[in-house]
Amino acid sequence: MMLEGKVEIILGKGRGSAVRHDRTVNISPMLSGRSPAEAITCISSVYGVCANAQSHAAVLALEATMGVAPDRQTACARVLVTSMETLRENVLRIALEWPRFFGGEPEGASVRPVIGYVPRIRHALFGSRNPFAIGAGCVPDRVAALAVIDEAEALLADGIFGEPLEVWRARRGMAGFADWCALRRTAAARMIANLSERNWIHMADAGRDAVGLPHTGSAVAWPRLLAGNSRRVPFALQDGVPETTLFSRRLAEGPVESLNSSGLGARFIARLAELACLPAEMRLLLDGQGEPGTMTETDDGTGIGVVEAARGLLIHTVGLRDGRVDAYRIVSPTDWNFDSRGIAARCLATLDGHDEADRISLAHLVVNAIDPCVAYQVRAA
Amino acid sequence: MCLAIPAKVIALEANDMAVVALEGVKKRISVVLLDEVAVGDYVLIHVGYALHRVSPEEAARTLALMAEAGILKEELEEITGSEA
Repeated sequence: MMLEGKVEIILGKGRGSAVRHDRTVNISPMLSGRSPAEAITCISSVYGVCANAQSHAAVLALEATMGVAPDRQTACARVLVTSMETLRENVLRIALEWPRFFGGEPEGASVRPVIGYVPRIRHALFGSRNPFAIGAGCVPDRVAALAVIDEAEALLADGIFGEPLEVWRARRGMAGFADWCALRRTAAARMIANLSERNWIHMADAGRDAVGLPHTGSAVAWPRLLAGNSRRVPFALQDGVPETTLFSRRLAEGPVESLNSSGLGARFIARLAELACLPAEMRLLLDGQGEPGTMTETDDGTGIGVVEAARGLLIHTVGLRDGRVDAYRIVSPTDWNFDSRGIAARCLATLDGHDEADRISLAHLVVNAIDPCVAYQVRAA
Repeated sequence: MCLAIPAKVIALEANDMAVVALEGVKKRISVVLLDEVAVGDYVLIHVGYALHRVSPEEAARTLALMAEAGILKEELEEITGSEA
């Protein structure tokens, strides 16, 4: 169940497919008339899984329209908290769901400590304060924060990669992953090994023509793209609706780029690359060296908050009247990726002609590769 | 960005499993991701797993907001449909 609705994948007999995204819930009426602080509390409560990313986008949008600007250290610390949530969610989805694709059992016990990392990093950076309160300021305990990041990296090395992250990040091409797959130490390695053995690494390759949205720091692009535009997906390109996934986010990383593919293998490797990169990026943010990578801009009084969340770019826009929420809008990764002209539809269109059972299995893999959280159903017409 | 719904733990079972209740609906979930869970705790559940403990006050507030947003009924139907 998701506030942004459900996705239905309909596979035609032999060929043809359709993606339907039923967005059933509009959160704006629930927030209308509330104070900015109340709105953030509501969003945090309702979006229980990605509460930090949602609160982060919300506070950026609200602060923008209120003319409040966090200092750089606080901006970095907020990104660090959201990044840890991204780490947690991707670890959970990999440990709990990837084994099932090839007949294995979920591996929850091995990643249990990941549940505690977000509250610990929040406390290390903000003490008892809410990082996503209007005008919040961080009070970082660098030693405590580093300890959490170090623990997270150790869990990734042990439970997800089966080797040090820098070793995994140095791998190039499928040949470079051969011994990692062969040892099958972790669910992630077994997943890629199984894809390889079934010759599915390059399946569902829709090309890269329409890949990627403007990044979170694109202070020029987003206000223009969102201004006066209330469509679910604010814009499309000639080749389709742009995607915002971990693949588009990590396309330039060595292990992903070296595959020279947009197929399933590259998409699942990109999900791993996200995890392999996060600890080092979080250390940079802690040292104030990283790029906060979030943006707030106002356009005609509308505040815009853009955040890199666990499965893609998350955008909140808000307008205030007399200090209370007047109009609120959320554009989620699902809106882009599961549009009828989005990346999921383009990937599924490449599966025409395959055996029916394989098409269904591949459709499930396509959805998981693009968005591990989306509520969806695959059915044959 | 997924929704997680609060529910009260009413029984603990072997193999890190528990039974939770919400509005008269019972569901068997995994508590493998949490260190310690006791009967009477409120937990946020998502796709069959308890993710966090929440206070009774937080649980009540979240359920009220979900009802206001029109998503609580749908969530309960999903739970009822999957396992009771």
